[in-house]
Amino acid sequence: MKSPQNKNEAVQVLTTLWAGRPEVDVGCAIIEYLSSNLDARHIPFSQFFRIALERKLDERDAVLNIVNYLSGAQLHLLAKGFEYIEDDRATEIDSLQAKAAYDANINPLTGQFDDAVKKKIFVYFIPSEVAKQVLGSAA
Amino acid sequence: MTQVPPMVSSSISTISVDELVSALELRTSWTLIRKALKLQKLPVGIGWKDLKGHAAENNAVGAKLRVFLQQYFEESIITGERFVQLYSVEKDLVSSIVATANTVTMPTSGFSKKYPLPLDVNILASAPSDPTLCAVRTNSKGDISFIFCSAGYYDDRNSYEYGQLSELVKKTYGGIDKLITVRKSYYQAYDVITLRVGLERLEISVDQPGRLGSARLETKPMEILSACALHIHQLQGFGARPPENLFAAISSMYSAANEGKVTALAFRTTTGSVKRERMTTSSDDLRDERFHHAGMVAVGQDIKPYEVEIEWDFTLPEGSAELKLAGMLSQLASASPTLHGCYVSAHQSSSFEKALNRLVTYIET
Amino acid sequence: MTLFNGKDISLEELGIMVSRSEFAFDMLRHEFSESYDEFVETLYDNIDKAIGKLEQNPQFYDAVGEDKITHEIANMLSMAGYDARQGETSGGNVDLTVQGYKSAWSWVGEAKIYKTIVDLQQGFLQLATRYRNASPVHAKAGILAYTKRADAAGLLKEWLEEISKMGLPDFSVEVCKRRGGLAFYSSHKHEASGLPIQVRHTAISLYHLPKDKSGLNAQKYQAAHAAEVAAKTADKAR
Repeated sequence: MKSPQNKNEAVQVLTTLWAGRPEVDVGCAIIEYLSSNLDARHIPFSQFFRIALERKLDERDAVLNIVNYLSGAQLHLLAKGFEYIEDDRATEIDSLQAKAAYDANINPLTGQFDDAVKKKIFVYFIPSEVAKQVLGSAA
Repeated sequence: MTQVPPMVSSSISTISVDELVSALELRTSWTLIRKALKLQKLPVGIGWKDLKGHAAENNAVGAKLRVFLQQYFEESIITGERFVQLYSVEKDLVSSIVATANTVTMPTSGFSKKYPLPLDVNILASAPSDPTLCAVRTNSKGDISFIFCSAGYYDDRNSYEYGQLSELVKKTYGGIDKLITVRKSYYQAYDVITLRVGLERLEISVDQPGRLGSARLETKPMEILSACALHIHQLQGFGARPPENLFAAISSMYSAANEGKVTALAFRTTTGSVKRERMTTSSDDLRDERFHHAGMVAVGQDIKPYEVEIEWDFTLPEGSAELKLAGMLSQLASASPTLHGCYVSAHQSSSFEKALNRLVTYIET
Repeated sequence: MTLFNGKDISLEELGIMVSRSEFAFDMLRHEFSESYDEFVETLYDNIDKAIGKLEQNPQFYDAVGEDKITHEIANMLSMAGYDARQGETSGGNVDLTVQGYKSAWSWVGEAKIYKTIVDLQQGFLQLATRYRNASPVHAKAGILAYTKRADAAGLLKEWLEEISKMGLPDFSVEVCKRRGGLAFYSSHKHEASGLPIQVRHTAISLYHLPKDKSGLNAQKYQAAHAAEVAAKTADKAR
């Protein structure tokens, strides 16, 4: 299977893989959103649930599956970022810091144990470089 | 130009890994040291405890890490997170100060016995809060740094909801909804006065300004200068002249498209609003951010900034620094708006100096 | 579905949500894998989950060939966030190549319907000698043995005994704690590179031969019964 070169091909790959499942509709809606927002720098996870709800796609699991898929290896249209938010200050952290927080409760700012740290870290998404090429090209 | 690594004093090179990392934990933020470790491609670990483990390893990487941490500690004494006031100094005065500095006798104090390491926390509570001269350093360019130690404190506040309180506390303080405790936490401050000989500039650098309230921060530079004047008589009365006014640099640095990366800006618009904007992605410049850019176009680029934060990634040698110019909104209405200090954050002295050098080019004379 | 009222989802909440998800359960593990070994361990969890789904309905795979079964596994892995491809060349026509997105890490698998030991032998030798050399970023591979015969664990044990007799250099074997008697690891020195290559041998139990009266009488199962007997005889004769 060759890598998709444009939006239609990306949709085709997704539709073939998830055929018959609600992930198809959710995935197409998200690809549509990404195509119009290729310069977005911060898409919170909740935005994908919002997109699904707007299209009356009430399937939480489908959203999770599709976001995981689109940020995975096959299409890789979404790249992940992490941020630490406390009070009204958001600080970008890398995946190593997020991993340390998730696995060992290490606060990324202090380097010390913090049993509430997982509540202060949030994942967000940005269109990947692949997305900019694939979704930015004409069909 | 390759960076000459800072020398490691004999006292630092002999202390245990435990003591060194504990001293660093008090001296620097995890964010800063992590950045520095990554730059050197050294093992970062997931936190301070992990770092201690890596530094204790009996192999080539462990040895390299130990040397790095020792050098980092030495540098951190004159860098880190600082509030800085700048003064121009006449050439004659510079020469005179340099001559006197070479004759300074270091006073014996509670701090000097353990310097450069900090005193134990339980001893700090009774240590002097006045800046005490502990060292004079000269760098390769001939710049002189006078290093003062003092015991500082900050209020460590914790708040407990009613449900978190023990029965005894609830009984003792019947009818309360919340309990707030305030405890004085002590730390050792390393304040610095640096004379940049070639640049004819004096810098008063207050250590860890975030721990001082605004009232204490306002008087701290003069305290340090007065302490220095006890040893350098040419600085007696020096405090009568005002520090450099940095307010104009806020707008100028924001407007200079290639001057670092703007990460935060506070400004007033001609359309009747006051705005605060901050980038959350470290790689992006606020000047280019779509929302900000659209707003600037909408108001014809006419805004009045009063606070700006800028970051640089320097090369030769590689390093990074952050500068914050925190003016007051009220100054915008003044005939001559003033700002007499800035916040600088950098772990290398070269980057620290470069950030100030960049700032100085925007000061109106 | 509540929309979290516009509130964003913390790492703690996300961890709980994805743990219950059909395909996104390892979303965070994918992101946090920092070594080839971590990548492979996560992949094996995902492979086992896919295998488990097949094993729940062995009747669907009665007349299905190994390509189609492998295709289903590849699809499930792709849905779980991998790039799983069939028939990709890697020094030979390997059945399954799986890549993550974070790095050059990859894993290859050779799939066979386990009719007799000879079928697995060919697959294993293709992996061990024909395919690309072992290296630090792709030193692990797998055999997927689709067993449509009874006693998958027993068959796998026979296979283990067989490869132990092959005389492979620096050969060792380790039980797989994940799947107990239905998987094991072998390791030996790769002929070309001289580096160790680890192979996970997994038996996927797709045996479906109903022993009730209608099953015994059904024409479609009579051929399968005969094949079962023939295979047992062939293995005994070796």
